[in-house]
Amino acid sequence: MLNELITRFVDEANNNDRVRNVITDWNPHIVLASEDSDWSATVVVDATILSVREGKHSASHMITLYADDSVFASILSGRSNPAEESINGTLQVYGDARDQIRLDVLTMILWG
Amino acid sequence: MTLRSAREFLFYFAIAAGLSLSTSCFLIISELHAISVLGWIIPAIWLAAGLSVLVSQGISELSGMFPASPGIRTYLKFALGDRFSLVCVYLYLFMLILVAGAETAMFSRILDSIFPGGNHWLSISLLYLMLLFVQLFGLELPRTVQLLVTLTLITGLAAIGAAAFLLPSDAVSATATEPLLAGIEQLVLLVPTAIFLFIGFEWTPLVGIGPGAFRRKIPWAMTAGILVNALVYSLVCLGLEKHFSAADIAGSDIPHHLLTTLLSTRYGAAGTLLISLFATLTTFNAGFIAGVRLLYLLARENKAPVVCRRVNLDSGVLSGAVFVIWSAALLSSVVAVYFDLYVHFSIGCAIIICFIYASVLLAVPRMRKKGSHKRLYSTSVPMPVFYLLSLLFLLFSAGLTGSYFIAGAG
Repeated sequence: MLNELITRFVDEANNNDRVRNVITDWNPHIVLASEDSDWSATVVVDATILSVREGKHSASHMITLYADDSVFASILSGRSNPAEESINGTLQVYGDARDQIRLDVLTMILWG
Repeated sequence: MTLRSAREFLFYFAIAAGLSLSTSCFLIISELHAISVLGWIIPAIWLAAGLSVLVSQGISELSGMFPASPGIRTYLKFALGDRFSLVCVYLYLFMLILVAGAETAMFSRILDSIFPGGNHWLSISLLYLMLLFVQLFGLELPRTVQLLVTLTLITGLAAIGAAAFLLPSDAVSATATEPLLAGIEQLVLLVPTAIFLFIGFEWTPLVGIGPGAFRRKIPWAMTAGILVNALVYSLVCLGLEKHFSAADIAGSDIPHHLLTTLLSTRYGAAGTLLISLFATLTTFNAGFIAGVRLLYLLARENKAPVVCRRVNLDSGVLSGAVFVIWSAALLSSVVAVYFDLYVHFSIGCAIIICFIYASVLLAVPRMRKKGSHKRLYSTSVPMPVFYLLSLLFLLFSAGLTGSYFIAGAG
């Protein structure tokens, strides 16, 4: 289910002009790793296009997110706000602070 | 420990030590000399350091339960409730604004001492325009620069203090003593005032690079940062008291200027300016960034005005929160400089931080009792100690407030 949700998230982001604007000149690997299952995925941002790969793929520029499956499902389907999940301690985001803001902005653009 | 691991530890150490070393700390050193003499000031600094280490132990355990969370907002929300957590976070933001005012006023006084007759309003305007420029373009001090600036500042200050202490003195040394009872009485005021010297270490968990950092590196780096700073402040106090009377030190808002000019009449002023610039660099911009992010997160929770959610989509800069914090900091600075309120601002900060530390210390045993979150770090400090410390910090906060108003009324 998470693979389906993340693919849908990436498709929505790729079809949104404002998202493209935000990710111009931004090339991180965004790793999502579940804390209560073996699931993990990497969103690769490259030249304004997002793509998904299964598993963890490291790079020099990375952001890593840890959460339970249910939290990832809730965020990827737009039901919850990643900033609030972070405040609640249910989502851990590691990476440069500005990258974390850009990531938050992506979800804000997609779901308000 | 691998080289990468050592560098990561040094980075956390630079944050823990660097954010505490502000220009206002020199004002606090003067304030300590207005209260008592060296024989009681140095024990007070180490007692405040010891208490700060215990606070850092509590913060380490909480950050191990909520790694990569926005600190006190999360800890206090879970332990003491959403509303109380919000009150503390807004108090913390208010404290950051007061720090900005006090720091600017101190910097302006330093410029005034070195370049008498100069227009310090122009320097303040330039400082704030530069800050706005840096923030709006999303510029931040790279980790290596933060590390180098902090290490230079620490070693430089320690060397100046030690050199002054070793220098023969022809002045009557300030070895005045206080009777034991009077000294103990003064400790009650000295310790909470000295707590201000260590404010800032609590931000270290917020820069954790990965979950592993919360197990050992961050707790140890906070302890090391506090203890090294205590050593530096002690050396500065020893150097000062060797050559100047307590009244001279208390009468100077910028005691490090006394030391640098003592060591070199020719380059002393430049030394003071450099120390102050480095101290401001390590705290001012970092404190500003911290305030901006905290306000943005509150806005994302709908707990702050919508304007604070505004983001520049091209650069990812939090333009709304930047303008709000920048305007508040500028206003605070103008008030602090124009009405000469920087001492009041610093005392206000000490009152607020003692209250917040009391809350955080209470949160530790509350979270342990709940047992709802796994812990990446468990402190060996017994839980009843945290209850006692919480009460002690609450008394510090109340005591400082009381003595401040009594002094004001007097």
